[in-house]
Amino acid sequence: MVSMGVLLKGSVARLVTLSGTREGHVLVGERQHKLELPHNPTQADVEVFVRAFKACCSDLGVDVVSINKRATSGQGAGGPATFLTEGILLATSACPVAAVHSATIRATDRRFAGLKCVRPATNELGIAYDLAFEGLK
Amino acid sequence: MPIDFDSLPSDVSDVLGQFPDFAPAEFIDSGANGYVLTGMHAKLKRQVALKIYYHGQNEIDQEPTLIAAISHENVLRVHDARSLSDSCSFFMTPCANYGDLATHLREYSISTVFAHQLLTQLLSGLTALHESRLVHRDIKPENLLVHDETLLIADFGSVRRVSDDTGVAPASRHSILYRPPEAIGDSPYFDFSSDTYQAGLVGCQLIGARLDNNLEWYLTGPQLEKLARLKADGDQFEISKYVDSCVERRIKNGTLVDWKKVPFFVPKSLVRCLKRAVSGARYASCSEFLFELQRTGANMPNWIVQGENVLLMDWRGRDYQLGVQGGDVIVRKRSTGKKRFIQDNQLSGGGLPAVYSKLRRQLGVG
Repeated sequence: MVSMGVLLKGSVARLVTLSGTREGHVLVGERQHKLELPHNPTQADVEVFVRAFKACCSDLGVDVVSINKRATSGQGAGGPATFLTEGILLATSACPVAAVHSATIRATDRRFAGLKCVRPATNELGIAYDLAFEGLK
Repeated sequence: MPIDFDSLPSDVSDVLGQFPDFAPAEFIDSGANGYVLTGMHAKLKRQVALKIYYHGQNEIDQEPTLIAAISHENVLRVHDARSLSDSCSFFMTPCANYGDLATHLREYSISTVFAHQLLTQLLSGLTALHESRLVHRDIKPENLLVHDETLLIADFGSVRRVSDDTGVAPASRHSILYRPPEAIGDSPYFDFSSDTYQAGLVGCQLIGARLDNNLEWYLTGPQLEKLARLKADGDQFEISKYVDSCVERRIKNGTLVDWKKVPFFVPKSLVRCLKRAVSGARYASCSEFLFELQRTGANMPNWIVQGENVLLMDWRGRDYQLGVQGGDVIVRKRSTGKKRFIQDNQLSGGGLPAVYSKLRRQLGVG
């Protein structure tokens, strides 16, 4: 199966797509790793964002999308841009979108850290990878 | 101009006989292998187009089947399809109110933001085709329709399925100008990136780069001299073979598009993106191309050519008009939505590069 992890942080979406299973998977579409909405996006900006996201899902044959669960309170609470980007993805994605809590990722890490063999080195893409890994079976 | 029904080809009259609810308003016979009728469908209460086309007797008539299988807002839909005879078929599609993109580009000026939108729509539609493992193979302005602000991919006569084993399809022999380098030579082929190459060429035209259908336009001075000698000999086959070979050389060298003709106001990031799309190191897929375009589109200034002037629309609530007066570039501005312009003396004066540099510095126009 093909699973896409999307880390939403402000108006930026970091994407990592994995193909295979938890035991054996590869990174696909490595060039399609970042989408960004400008501040105060226009309708045209959102349309292009959606087209790019949908095209990526279609080209890579994505079966499931995992996004980071947005905190609703406290210091790490998501801002309006995250809220907007999340809404766009939820409303337009052709494949099922699941929100994954950071605690779930930590729990998976404790059990399956050894299987995370192609985790990108950068922090944000690393989290997007963790999200994609959650979608794999 | 009203249609002269008596002079219509017999096949067209036969088709009209099958659609009593269709009131034709226009007859187009400029197509290579058929005709198009546009008009009002009384039952559907909308403008429709009837495409009547000829094919080989044993050829599988795949065009309407392919269109019907794809449901995407940027791919033309089909309402009905029938066969008239073994070698003639027709199908009905919605009618695009602005006609094809080639006509649109000839008749209207397109703003940078609209050009960007149309290109992303084209790539989005192509993604739907590629998802079904189909390559269009003949993406060019003549085969793209514009309805309101939506671009529709049409003319599926060249569409082929990509082989699961090799990942390629046979090359199309259509439109030499739009043929990608891999479709030229001894073992020509087409793959998904070939469609992105053609989409890149369409993008170049959308931003104002010239791509002339007159192939002689691409010949250099010495090549034109040789062509003149061939013309004197009068061998038409040799002439067209020579012109084609010169164009093919340009395609292979990546010098088909004259980038110097791109208007000054087109963002450099967009030009870079298009240059890559039509180069050897081009985007492998439409989504890769779209991702890059998405980045270039953020906060893009919306320029449009208006006769002798160039207008920057709605840049932070103001419109700026650039025009030449007595050798100097004059900048006039107004609040967006207002009618009257007033001259901006701070920005006006000097040549175009100087004024554009001031616009970039003072207004942050990228």
